[in-house]
Amino acid sequence: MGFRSYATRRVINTVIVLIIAVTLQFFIFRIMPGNPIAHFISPNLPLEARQSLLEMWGLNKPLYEQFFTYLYNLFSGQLGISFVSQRYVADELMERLPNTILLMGSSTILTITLGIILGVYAGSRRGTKKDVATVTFGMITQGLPVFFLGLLMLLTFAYYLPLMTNGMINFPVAGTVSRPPPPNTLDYIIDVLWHLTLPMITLVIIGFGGYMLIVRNLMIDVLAQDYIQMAKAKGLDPNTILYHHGLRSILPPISTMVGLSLAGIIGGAVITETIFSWHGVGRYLYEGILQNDYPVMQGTFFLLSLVTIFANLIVDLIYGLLDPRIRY
Amino acid sequence: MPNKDLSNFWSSYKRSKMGMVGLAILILFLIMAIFAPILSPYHPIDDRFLAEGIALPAWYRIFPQYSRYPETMSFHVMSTVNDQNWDVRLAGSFNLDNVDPITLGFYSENVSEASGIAELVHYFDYQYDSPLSFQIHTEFQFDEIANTEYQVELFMLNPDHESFLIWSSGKSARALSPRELNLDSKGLPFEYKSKMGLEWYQNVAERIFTKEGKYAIIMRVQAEKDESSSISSFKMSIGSLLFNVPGRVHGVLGTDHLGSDLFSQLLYGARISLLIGVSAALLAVSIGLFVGLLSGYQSGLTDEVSMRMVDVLLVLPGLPLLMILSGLFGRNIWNIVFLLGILSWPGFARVVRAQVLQLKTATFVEASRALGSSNWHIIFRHLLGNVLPLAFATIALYIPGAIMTEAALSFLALGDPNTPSWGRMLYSANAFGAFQHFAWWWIIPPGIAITLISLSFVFIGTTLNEILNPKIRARR
Repeated sequence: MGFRSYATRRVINTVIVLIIAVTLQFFIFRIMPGNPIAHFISPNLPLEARQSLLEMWGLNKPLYEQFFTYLYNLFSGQLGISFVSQRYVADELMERLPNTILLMGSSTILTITLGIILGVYAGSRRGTKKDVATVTFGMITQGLPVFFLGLLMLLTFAYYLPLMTNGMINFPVAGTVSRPPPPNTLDYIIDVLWHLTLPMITLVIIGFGGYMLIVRNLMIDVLAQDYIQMAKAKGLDPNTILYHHGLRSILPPISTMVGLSLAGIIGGAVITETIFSWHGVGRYLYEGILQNDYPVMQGTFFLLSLVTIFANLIVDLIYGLLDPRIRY
Repeated sequence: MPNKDLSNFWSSYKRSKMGMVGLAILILFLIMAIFAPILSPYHPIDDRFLAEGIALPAWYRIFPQYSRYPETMSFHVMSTVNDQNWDVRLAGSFNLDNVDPITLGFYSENVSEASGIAELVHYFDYQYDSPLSFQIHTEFQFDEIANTEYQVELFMLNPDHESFLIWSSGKSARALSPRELNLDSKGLPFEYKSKMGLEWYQNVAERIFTKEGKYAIIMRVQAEKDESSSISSFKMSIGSLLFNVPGRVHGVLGTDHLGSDLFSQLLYGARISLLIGVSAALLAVSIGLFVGLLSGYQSGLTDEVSMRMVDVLLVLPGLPLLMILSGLFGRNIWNIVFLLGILSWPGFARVVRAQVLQLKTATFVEASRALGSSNWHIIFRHLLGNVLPLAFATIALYIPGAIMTEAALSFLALGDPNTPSWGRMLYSANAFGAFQHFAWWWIIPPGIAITLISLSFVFIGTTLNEILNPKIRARR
């Protein structure tokens, strides 16, 4: 079986998952107790008014027809209008998406890099004190709740540090950019990066432990392989052996891990964005939930699930390319 | 012999340092959860105003700059005349009609003018830095008023002999309603503050309580005969008075913004976390076990449908989904357990299915089938028994996830608002000013508690896994 048929199977599977997920979402928002329709169509309204409201939102049509309208709207990007801000949900999402991509992208790249470096470091020193210390550190940081670490970072760097340095060092308490934003582009970028620091470091500290532990264990297995012994016997540079021979063969499982942990990363990002008032998609979802703004909830959740589902597909495909064994 | 199995199990568990550490931490939290009412007398949420909002922990008084901070001080002045209660001074036509409870009378039959002043004075010692506020609660009753204009006033007297008017009825000839008086120094109208020489934003309690020494509460009643009439009479009785100074330090961990005890919240939080963690993990593992057994044994449509369900749930972002659902379902603790349970079974279902697929072809299952055993018999008798050890380890490993997720929901104010959970503590710390007050003791203890309780279950689960699942043991 070649890569093409493997890829076809993954794509079909993804489409099935996507359909189930979207259907599930449709029912969650319509059938569940306390559904939003009950909030907005009061039973006290006169019958004609209720009827016209139902018609306006297409809620008097049979369920299957509603379902197809819903599918059509979702995939053509019509996510409705927010009850609260009266703006298009799709527009608001597009406005916030770059911020979220900046936060999640930068923190994920740093997390993986740090995880791999520390994992290789610990794995190649198996059983030594350095190994035990690194592993313990990774396990503890991994066990920290993200909201707790976020609050700790705020308390330390945005409150105590300015207090102790008399405001010389001053991390921002909230936001994505200062208000008013700096006019000059370079200052603007520096300002955003300054705001990015605390939430990004929070996500990196929470995330790197998991990668580190996996990389360490994989590394230990790999280093026991014959070809590594062979490389050592040839007298190759130890770093070349570790990073060129060792790391290369464990890249495929690491790439799967990235895909699998994405759902968790998104959860962590929602909380982090909330704590640091980061103007992103996660905070938008949270505000939507607090205000019972159901077009916002539905649209945001659709976007988030779309991202995780496709990221998983891409990771599967990369895995298939990197590791020919998986195709069978 | 199950007994022997158990002692074997225990002796191999004892050998794991990690397992024992986990167990020790867990026992600590169990003690906290079980003995919470004994360890702290206060209800974590319902007992409010125990001290000033966001009071410091009591042990902060070991630092010199906080050493004179007041703890909550509260006393009753009973309506009677003696050293502990009221000292009564009468002038003019006032006389004391009754002593217990105190009743003041004013009576005049002469046509000429008549007036009188009665003063009730209570002295008390105050030995601390000034409080941020104080409250007075008392009540009077007007039994008789005829042709008399009266005025009731409350004063505070400080050691510098400054007196401060804190309440006045104003001149009146009619009975006063309400007769119950609830005064808070923070809510004094501006006219009183300006008489003390304060701006509207300045603190009354800090103005009055300038140093340690003897203070007094003075209740002054003035009465004056109406000019037009011949007979005038006035009679009022006075109820007991409650004086309260909320502490600026309180208990082991101080108070939250409503003056509730934070140490109680920390103790009771262990109950919520353990309850939610264990029940959600039990539910998730039961569902996972059931689905895994069924789809592994019954290949075909059942398998296909449940595995697609697993794919979906594994790939959807769990926390956002949970946030949305808990909002729709209603925020109570059992809804959250239910949601955590039905969203976190897929991983385990997949593992069980893989195990069952292997076991299904094992000779003892084949033999049982050949003997004519029913499918259910095989599933429950042979397959279940083989995957059960895995289930125990998985429960322990699922608990931390459930605890963390519940804490995250509560932190986002999407959990049960009526339960004192650690996540809720962190929520109120974040939302109601722990940062502005540098109240690290409000943030760090619950955070560490969540981390430790999760770690303890990870340690226990990992140890159980190594003992109960020989495959993993072999790989080490």
